[in-house]
Amino acid sequence: MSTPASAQPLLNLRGLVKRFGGLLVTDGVDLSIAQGEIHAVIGPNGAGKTTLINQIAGELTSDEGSMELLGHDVTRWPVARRAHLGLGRSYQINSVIGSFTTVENVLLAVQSGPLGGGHNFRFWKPATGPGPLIDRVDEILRMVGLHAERDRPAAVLSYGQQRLIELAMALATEPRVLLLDEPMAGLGPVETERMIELLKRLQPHYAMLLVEHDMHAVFTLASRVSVLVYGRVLICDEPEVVRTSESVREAYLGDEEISA
Amino acid sequence: MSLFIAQLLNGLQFGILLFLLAAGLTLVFGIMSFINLAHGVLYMLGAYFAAATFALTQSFLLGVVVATAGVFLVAAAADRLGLSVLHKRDHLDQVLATFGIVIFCNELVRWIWGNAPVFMDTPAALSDSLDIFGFIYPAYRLVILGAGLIIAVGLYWLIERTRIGMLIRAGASNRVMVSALGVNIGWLNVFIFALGGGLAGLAGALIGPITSVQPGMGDGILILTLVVIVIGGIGSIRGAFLGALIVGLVDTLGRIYLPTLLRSVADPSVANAVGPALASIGVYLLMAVVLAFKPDGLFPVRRRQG
Amino acid sequence: MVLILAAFALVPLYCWWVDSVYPLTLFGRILVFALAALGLNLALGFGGMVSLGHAMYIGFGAYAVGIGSALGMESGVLQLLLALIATALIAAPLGWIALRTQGIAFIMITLAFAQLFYYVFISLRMFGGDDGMTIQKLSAWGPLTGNKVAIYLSLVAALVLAIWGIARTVQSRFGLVLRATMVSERRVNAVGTPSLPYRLVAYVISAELCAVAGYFLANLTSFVSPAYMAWTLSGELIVMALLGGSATVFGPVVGAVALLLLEEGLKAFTERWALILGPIIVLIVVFLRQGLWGLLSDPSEKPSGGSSGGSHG
Repeated sequence: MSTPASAQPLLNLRGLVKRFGGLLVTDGVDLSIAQGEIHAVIGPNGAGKTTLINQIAGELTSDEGSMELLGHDVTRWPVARRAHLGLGRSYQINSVIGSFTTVENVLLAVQSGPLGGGHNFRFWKPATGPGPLIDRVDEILRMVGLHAERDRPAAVLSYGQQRLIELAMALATEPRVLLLDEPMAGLGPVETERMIELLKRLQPHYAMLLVEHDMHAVFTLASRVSVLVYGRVLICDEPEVVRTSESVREAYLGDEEISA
Repeated sequence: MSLFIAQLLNGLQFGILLFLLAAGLTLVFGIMSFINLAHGVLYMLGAYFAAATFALTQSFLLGVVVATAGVFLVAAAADRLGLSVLHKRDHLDQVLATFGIVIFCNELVRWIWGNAPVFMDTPAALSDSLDIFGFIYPAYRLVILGAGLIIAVGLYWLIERTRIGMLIRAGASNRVMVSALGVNIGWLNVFIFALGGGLAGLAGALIGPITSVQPGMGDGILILTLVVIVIGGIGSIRGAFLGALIVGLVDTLGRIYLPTLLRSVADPSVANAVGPALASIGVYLLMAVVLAFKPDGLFPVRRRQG
Repeated sequence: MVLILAAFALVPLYCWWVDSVYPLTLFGRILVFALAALGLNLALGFGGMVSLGHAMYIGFGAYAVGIGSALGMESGVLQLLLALIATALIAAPLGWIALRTQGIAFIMITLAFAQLFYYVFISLRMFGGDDGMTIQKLSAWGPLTGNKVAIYLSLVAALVLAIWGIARTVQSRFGLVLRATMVSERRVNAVGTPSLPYRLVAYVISAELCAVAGYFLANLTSFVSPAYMAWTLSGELIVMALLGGSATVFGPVVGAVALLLLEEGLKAFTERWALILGPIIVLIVVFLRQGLWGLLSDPSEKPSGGSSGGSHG
C-alpha cells in the first residue's frame, strides 16, 4: 500500500539567503518537501547547491530567511540539534570514518538517534556489545546490502560500498527528512541502479532533498524538481515540465545534457 | 606623567618586538599550517649571532645585519634540509619534532657559548637618552620602535602591494588553489619560512643589548608570541600587528600598574601576595577573554572550504 | 602488558633485596609519568586534542598536597579531593574556551594557559615560589602516612585501575563518539551528537588523571615546585604517549618507561644529554610514529593521523 504524500511539508524553506563577503550565493530560496516526496535540486555548476544544503543542515548560518523542520523553526539551531530533531544527511564526499568498521560507523549514528536514549555519556559497556543498538545496526546494514562487510574497516571497502555506508548513516538516526548530496557521485551504472532502487523503496517514509547531477536518476526518482541558477530557484515543478522548459534549457546551455 | 609615557613607549617597543616575531610565525601557521615551536630558537640565534659579531667587530650594525641574514639562511637551509618533511604531517608531529629541535638547540647554544648570559653593549651613538620636550627616554629603545615600525610598513607593502604578497595572501586562504595555478608552492614556502626566520633573528639582534642573551631565552617569548597570534587571528599580519601592540602594552603597563591598582582597592597583604602574580598573567587572562568572545581571534582569516 | 605491570609491583621487593631506596624513587617517578601520559593520551590519542599544557594538572595535584600540608590540611583523602575538584574547576572552563577554536590554536592556547599557572605558582612566594617547597608532612593515611612503599604500591594500583578504566571508556559509546570526533567532527554533529561536550569531558578526565599523578609525585618526592608544570614537561608527556603508541591504551605507559629510562641512561653518560635526546625525539616522530607498543600490537596498522584539537571545518 503506498502512502499518499501528506499535505503538510516536513521541511519548509522561506527566502533563504547566504552571502560570502560581497558574493550572493543563495538568493532568496523557497522550497518545501512533504513526506513521500523526493524533491530534486539541480542546476549548473556554481549554482549554489552545496551552499544551500549546508544551510539546511546548519553548517552555514543563513543571513536571511527562515527554515521550518517538522513544524519547528530551526533557523538558528546548530547542526547537532537539527539532526537530533529528525534531519539526516549524506555527504557528497564520503564522511565515513575509515578507521571504524562498517558496524561502528552505522552504530555511531544509531546510538545518537532515538534508540540511544538521548545522549552517549556511557562509559562502561562496550559500544559494539550485544543489545538493541547493534540489532538495529545489523537491520540497516541488511537493508542497504552491506551486512557481509559488517566487521571490515570502512577504509578497505570499495567506493560504492562506502557510499552505501554514507547512506546508512543518514538513515540510522531515524530521521524524517533526508538531505542527500549527490549519492550517486562516482558510482558505476550497476551501483547507480541499485542506489536508485533503494531510494525508491525508502521514498514513502521520508521527505527527501536530492541534489544530483545524474539526470537519469533525477528524472526517475523525483516527484518535483527545483532548478537552482545563481542561487535562485528558476523553476519548481514536475520533472516533465522542467525537462521541456525553455528557460531551463537556456540555463544549462554549454553546461550539461538534461535529456537523459 | 612622564613615567606613564615612558612605560607606554616601553610597552609599544615590546609590542613591536613581538610583532617581528609574530609576523613570521603567523604566516607560517596560516599558510603552511606548520606549527613551529622552534621559532624562539631562531630569535635566540639572532641574539647570539649579533653578540658574537659585535664581540669580533665592535660594530652593532654589522651584528644586526649578520644576525638577520644569518638566521634567514639558517631557516632556509633547515627547511630545505628536512624540516619540510613535517609540512605534510599532522600538527602533533610538528609540535613534537620542533620541540625536539628546541631541546637540541638550547643545549647546543649552551655548549658553544656556555650557560652564562652573554652581554652586548648598546651602540655608543645610541646609548644616551634623548630629551624630547623635557621628557627623557633612552634613544636605543626609540630606535627599536622606529625600526620596527619601518619593517611593519615594509611588510604591509610586501603583502598588500607586491605579487609575492598576493601569492602569500592567496595561499593563506586556499593553498591548493595556489599550487594549481602553477605557482611553485615549494619555493614560496621556503621564502615565507626564511622571511619569518629573518625577522625573528632581527628581533633577537635588536633586543640583545637590553636583555641578557642566554640559552632558553627564546622559550618564554615564543609563548607570548603564540598568545599574540591567537589574539590577533592566525594567518593575519594585521592581527599580528595589533595583537602584538596590545599584548606589549598590557604586559608592560599591567606589570607596573596592576599591583598599584590592587593596593588601592584591596588589603595590602592581599595585594602584595596577588599583585605580582596578576601582573605576570595579565596577558593570558586577556587572551582568555578575547577567545571567549572571538574564538578565531580579532582578525580571523577566513578559509574557503575548498 | 601484565608482565610489565607485575615487574613494577615487584620493585619494592628488589629494593629490600639490594637495600637501596633509589629504585623505588626511580620507578615511582616512572609510574607517576606513566599515569600522567596515560591520562593525557585519552585526550591526545583518542580525542585528537594536542594539549601542550597537561603538566599544569600534575602541578595542581602536587600543590594540593603541598599547600594542603602547609595550611594544616593533612588528610590524604581531603588533599586528593582538593586536587580533583580544583582540576575540574580549572580544566572545564579552560577546555571549553580552547575547544571552540580552530585546530592549530588549541595547542597554543593550552600552552599559554599552562604558562599562566606556571607564573601564578612561581609568584606564590609563601609556598616556595620559584624554588619549590619541601613537604614536611605527607598526605595522612593513618598508619601508612609517609611510608614510601605504601605510596609506591598504591600508585601501582592506581595505574592498573586507570588502565582498566581507560580501556573500557575507549570501547564504550562515549569512546566511539570521541574517536569519531578525531576523524570527522562534522560527521558526529551530523548524526545528532554535539561534539563539544564529549571532547570536553574527555579533556577533563585526562586532566584529573594527571592531577592524581601529581598527588603521588608530591608524596613520593616530598617536594613540589613550579617545575612540575613547565611546558617542557608537557612536551615530554606527549613524547611518551607517542613513543609508546598513541593509538593504544597501554602505549603511553611503555613510552613513559622507555623515555625516562633513556633519559636516566643518557644523563649517566654525558652532561650534554639533551643534545642526543632532541634528535632522538625528532627521529621518533619521523620514523617511529606508531610507537613501540603500537608496533608490537599491530605492525601492519598505519599510524592514525589525528588532528590538533579545536573545531575543524
